[in-house]
Amino acid sequence: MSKLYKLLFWMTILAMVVANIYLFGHSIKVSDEILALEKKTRDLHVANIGLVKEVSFLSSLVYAEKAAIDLQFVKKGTPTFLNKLGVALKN
Amino acid sequence: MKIKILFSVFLLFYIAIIVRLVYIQVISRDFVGSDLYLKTKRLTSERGKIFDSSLNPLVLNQNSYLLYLEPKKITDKLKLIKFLSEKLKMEEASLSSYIDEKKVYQAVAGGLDETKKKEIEALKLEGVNFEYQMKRYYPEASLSAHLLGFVGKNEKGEDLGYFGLEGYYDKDLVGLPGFLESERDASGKPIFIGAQKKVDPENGRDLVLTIDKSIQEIAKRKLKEGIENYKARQGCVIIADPYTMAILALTCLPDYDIDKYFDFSENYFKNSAISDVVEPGSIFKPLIMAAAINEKKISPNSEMNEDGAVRVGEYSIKTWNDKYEGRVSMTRILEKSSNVGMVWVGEKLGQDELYSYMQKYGFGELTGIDLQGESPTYLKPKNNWYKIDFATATFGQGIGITPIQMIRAFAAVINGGNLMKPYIVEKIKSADKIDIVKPKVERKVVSGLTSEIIKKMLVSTVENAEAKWDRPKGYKIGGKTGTAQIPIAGIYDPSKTIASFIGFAPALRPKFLTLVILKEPGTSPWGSETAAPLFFEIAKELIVYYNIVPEQ
Repeated sequence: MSKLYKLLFWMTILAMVVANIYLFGHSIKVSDEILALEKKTRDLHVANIGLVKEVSFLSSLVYAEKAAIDLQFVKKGTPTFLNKLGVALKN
Repeated sequence: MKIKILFSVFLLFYIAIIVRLVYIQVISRDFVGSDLYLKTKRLTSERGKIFDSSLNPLVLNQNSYLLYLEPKKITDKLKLIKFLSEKLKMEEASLSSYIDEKKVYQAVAGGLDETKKKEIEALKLEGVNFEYQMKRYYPEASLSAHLLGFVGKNEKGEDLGYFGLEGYYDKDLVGLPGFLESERDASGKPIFIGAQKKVDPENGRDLVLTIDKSIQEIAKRKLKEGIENYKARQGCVIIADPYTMAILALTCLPDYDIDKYFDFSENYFKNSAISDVVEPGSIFKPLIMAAAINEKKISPNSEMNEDGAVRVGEYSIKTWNDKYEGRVSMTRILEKSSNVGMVWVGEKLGQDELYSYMQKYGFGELTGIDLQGESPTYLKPKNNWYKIDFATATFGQGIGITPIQMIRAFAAVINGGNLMKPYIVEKIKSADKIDIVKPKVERKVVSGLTSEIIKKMLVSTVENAEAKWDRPKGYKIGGKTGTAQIPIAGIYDPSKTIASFIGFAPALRPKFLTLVILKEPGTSPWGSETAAPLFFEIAKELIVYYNIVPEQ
């Protein structure tokens, strides 16, 4: 009988040690995951702000003006073809 | 026996741990403190954004980094100074002064963008670190510098809005920071079964303006051209909806580069449209005319005899060109901008009523526009007014008002008689609610009938003015020119004037009311030759923008 108790006692101790080691290892893994998620959230936030900035620049009058100049879409560059369709057809 | 020894060793070991824990957590808990494992992190709130009336962004936030040094970790000081001074464009001596080996942290340069951060990180310098921050981003650059204001720092180094909307709405924009309390182990990792407490930050509230960025662009571009063409020292354009006094555009030049506000002196930050107290000149005449019509002292067809200069005490008041037409109607007085005629109208109105209307129009009080920096104006007590003061006030000289007061009073005489509170922000948005700002009627100043009469007189003023302008064809436009001399040390200098024009279109139901002011124009001192043509240039573009159909 006492042997059975001893066996049970040591098995319990062993089970607790194994559970402890598992919990310890698992908590480290979860901590790493929390850290990784924190970083990912922060990075996404930063990336989101960067993207909003880019989109707003592309829809701004400043960009439109720059694009117009690059495309020579100015008074001087107005195509004469619109007024002289014959010239346009010829070309 | 062996088991007993082993058991005793384990027991002693556990007792030692328990004793140590009791010592740390009970006996010396005040000394050790919870910060050994409980880390508190401040979660910064995002400052509110600002949008125009069509929800186009005018102010956003962008990623930014603060470069700081940890002097104790620096291994090669000379290399660090050499490379950082190149990248940050700082003097080596001033950078060297930052490195104090006794310190653990030293902030060096803020506002660095992502690219600059990566460039410095690539150098792999020991003891150099970055802290994430946010700074303002202006997609439309300085299109609305005076309106928006800027974000600087207070004495504690925290963000603070200065001038314009950033200053006025700072408390709404700034939001509330949150915090994260988390039990962490020695390596900074969260303890799985430890306490975690998070209070989310409350981001600042977003502002939606009455400003239309396209109209703002038209106003600023045309004002810039006008100042160059007429060689003016400065200028302002205010465009408003006369029925609500929602400001559609407001710009004054010269202004400043909003991204580099720190390179400009404080004089540039002042928004002349709300801060400059000036004599309005003849654009004031319709207000007095409306008052006299409202009090039934005159009608548009009443006549007076304009047969020469009028004497008031020791002063002689003339017309601008010293020419007189004999019998003239009230409408004609506005058309030819007759000072002599206006003195007659003022006398008909009476001193008490004239003063009373000045108060009703809101002169001497703040308009309450939601911009930081509005200047108060002073309307001296009636018993301190001399006869000449009442006479000159009828044609807008001898009184000091701000441009925003002028346009508000003018809006009242053409919108049916309601004096409105001018406003820039129409919606304040937070995560869970939207506050809508509604137009506010301060008081009724003139009747609807008077308003209709004065509108017709102002249309006639534009159509029969002595100057001929390149007006948009087919549209009825009302308005009035103004040329106010500037008093310098109590004496008026005829060469230094404030040229102005205030006008509205379409006359039947005005879509916009525009005030144009040019200070000290060099090509001509007259409003009719400077501010008026500029007004019509702006009006042409606004008519196209609003797709207003011709009335005639």
